[in-house]
Amino acid sequence: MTMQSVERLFALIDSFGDEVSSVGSVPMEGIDKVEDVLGVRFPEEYRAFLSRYGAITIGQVRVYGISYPVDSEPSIVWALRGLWEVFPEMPRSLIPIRDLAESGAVACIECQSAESKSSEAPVVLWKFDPQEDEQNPVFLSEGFAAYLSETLTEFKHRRAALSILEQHVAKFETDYLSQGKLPRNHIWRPFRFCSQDVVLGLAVVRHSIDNNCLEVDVCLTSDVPEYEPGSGAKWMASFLLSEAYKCGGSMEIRFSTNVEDGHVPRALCDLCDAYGVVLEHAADGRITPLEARSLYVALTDFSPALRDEIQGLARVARLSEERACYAVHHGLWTRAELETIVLGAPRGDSILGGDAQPEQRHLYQSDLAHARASVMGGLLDRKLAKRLRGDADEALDLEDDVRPLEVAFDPTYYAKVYCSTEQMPVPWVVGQSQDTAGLPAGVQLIALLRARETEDLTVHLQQDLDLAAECLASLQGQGTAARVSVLVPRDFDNLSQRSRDEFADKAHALNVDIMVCPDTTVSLDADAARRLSSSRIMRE
Amino acid sequence: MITARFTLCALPSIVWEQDVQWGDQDIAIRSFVADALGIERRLGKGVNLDNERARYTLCCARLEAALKLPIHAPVSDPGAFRLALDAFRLPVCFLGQEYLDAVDLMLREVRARSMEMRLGATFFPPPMVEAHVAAFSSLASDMGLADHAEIQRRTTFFRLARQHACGVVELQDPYHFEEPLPAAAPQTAVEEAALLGSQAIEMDEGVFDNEGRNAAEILRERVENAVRLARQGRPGAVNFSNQPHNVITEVLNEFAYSESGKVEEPVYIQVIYTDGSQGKPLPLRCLPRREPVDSASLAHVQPLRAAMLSMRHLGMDHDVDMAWFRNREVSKARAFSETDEFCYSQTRKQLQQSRTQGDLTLFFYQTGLQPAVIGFYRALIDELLFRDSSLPSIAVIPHYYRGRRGYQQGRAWV
Repeated sequence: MTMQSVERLFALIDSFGDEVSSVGSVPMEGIDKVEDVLGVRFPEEYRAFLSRYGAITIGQVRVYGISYPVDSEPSIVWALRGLWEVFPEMPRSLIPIRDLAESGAVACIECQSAESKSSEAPVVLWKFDPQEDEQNPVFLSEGFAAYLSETLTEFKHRRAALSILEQHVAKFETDYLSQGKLPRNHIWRPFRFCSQDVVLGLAVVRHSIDNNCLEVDVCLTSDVPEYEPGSGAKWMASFLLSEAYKCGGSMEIRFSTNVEDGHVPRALCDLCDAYGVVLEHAADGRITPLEARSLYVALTDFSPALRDEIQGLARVARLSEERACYAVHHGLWTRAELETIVLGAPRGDSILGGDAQPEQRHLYQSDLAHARASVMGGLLDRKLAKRLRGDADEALDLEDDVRPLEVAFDPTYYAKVYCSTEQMPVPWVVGQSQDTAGLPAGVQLIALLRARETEDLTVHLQQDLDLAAECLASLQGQGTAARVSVLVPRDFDNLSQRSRDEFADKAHALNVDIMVCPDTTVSLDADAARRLSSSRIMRE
Repeated sequence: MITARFTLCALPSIVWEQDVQWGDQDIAIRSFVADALGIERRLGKGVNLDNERARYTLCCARLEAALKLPIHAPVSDPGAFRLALDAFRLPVCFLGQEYLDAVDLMLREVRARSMEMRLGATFFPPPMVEAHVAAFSSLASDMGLADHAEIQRRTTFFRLARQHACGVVELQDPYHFEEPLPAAAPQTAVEEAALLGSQAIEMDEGVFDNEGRNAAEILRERVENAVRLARQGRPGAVNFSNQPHNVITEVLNEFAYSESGKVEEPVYIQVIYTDGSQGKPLPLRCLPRREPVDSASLAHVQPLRAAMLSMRHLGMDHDVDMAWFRNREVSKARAFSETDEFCYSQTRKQLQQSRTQGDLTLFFYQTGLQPAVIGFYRALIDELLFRDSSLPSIAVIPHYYRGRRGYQQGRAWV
């Protein structure tokens, strides 16, 4: 223990003034007595805290200690009695200091036994109901003073941020919402990110014209137990980076002094650590353009092949990494669709930029055809990922009921490559009824994307089938179990019955499939054209 | 890999004027063409753009769909063009992805001029063909793209279409499969027969070039004749303008080395170009033949990979370390002999500078532009003569770009 850290903690507690509700000082004899009863030795920091405050409550933060009567909140004796009764397996060395019931856990000091000479007493998180392979307890902080300082600082920041947020919201409502106006980028704009009724993040941002960067005045994230740890920070980072790109600045992000005293928020720093992105100017509240770009790419989680290709295009100034990331985060293209475009289309950068206009027919036609193929591939991605439940009479559609599905893209054959660890039905196959046995787990499904119109199918489908057969032979030569298909739009149904039968027979003879997507080129084109058009205007 | 392939389809004027039966197929494009041209005019006014663009896309798609018929007749010479029309078929020729890249480049670099000539449009009715092809070849020339195989092929086809009073519709297959490019290295030297003998049937360098006789044979004969005349003290000239660059290089390689195998006094032949200009004489029959054992010291030198010209084949950029000549310096509007001279002096200067850098193995990724090829190899012969010593210190190995099929390695100059 250092007296400095304890003094800093006391100063921090006292800075809350009247908001601090403390039990009052506890004599050393009383503390010794409690230690004897519990068979542990409290760390000096905690003893000093008990001696001065007993126990405290500041806003929503309640820190257990010694209070009278000892069998009532916020006494540690009271807390332990309840915990030991419900969780008899709880280690006796753990002394609860904060109830974190909403997370299904309690923060504890891991005390030494009375006889131990060691002075170590870290603060840990002890979970009531850990997963089988989950570590319990989990290290939180090296000591009581550090933990409580951090908690109270965060509380202070959060409260200040909420107050600033309220001011921004009030002004925003007066200036814009009430008048039905939309704000420009350089105006402070408040955002709230929710999943149903759970708030995952709050932010207030604006584009700084003077500094050509994104300024952040409020940045609050929360970790919700139902989501993976760090989800709030991840979503917040994704938003800030996307906003930085959309506003047309340099990608630099600056946090005002209202955000954690001008430091890059801790949650974001932790996220950067997890992705191996070093923030050189975190203490100055700055994320540089280079750091922002690295974090954006890491968050977007491109496949290695896609990342290499994007970086290659970025080197020759044909496509920026942040544009590719934004296309995914903005929901314009999924990662898998983007992979089709970047790895498969000869002019992927033009598609992502929406560069070609219809009057430049050749360029536009090329972009549209590949965008169409990507949209069609995306439909198949979703169809394959969705599990089919129910029986012949009743189909059940369950939210987020998706199977583990690896989706890759093979630029050689311009084909999607799917593989799942569970059996999956192959949809849309010509001449196959829905109840045919699916693709066994581990077997690849290769779908050559050929989003051809009716007339093109007449001319080219035979070659496509031959190529599919060549692909199959190549895979078989490598000992890879696979099923190969040519995926075409519903324009196939416009062919005469005779032509369709002939193609189906040819496919059968070649041991490949024809899959007919339920959408026609007209509807695929409408979607693709919309995306191309959005690409043109997505950066302001 | 997937790439774009274009089918240029010539349509006689009657097809543009009325809905007709051509051969056993009904062709009805007249209304689509009229609508599309009307939309183009309205697009120029910038009003109601979204709707007009949607209609234009639909109109062009229908026009193109109407021509995806089983009556296409690929043609490789003017006679076949005529025959196809006489047989009520539609003469077609094919272009690759590089045409699209060229269109893209032209639209980006010289937008107003490109738009004015309707570059990137997919149909050209007969009255528009002449103006379009003139503007197109002029722009291609100004941008240094004139010797680009796809540009030449398109220009030639349009000129044939004009001669036969045809219009042209360009159909795109965006999912055309081509075998992937082989890796740039390691490459294997090809036999002369494979390299030159195939020239007559290889269509990469021009639709209608070098038909019939083998181009290498023709050039070899001409150079041989020029050398013989020069030895007799009479002017012996060769026109290199219309020769494929790989053929020029390989034939020059044959004649650059002396018959005795030792250093000889050069025999100078005259170089002339089709624009009437005359280049500096070319020294031949002078270089000493190197034994493989002499050249072994260069085998361990890390090769410098250089494209002949920057901004010509951007797809080559992945494979090279640098470009030997800058396109904007070489592709200027001037006489071929001046280009030849410029490339000669540049190469001389660069090779002289390389003397202080130790041994040099240069992989020379060359493309068309004959004056640049002649200038380069004239300078190389001079340099090889200068460096005449027991052990070679420089080797140049030509690599010929073969479109999507990668590169062919030529004979080494040591």
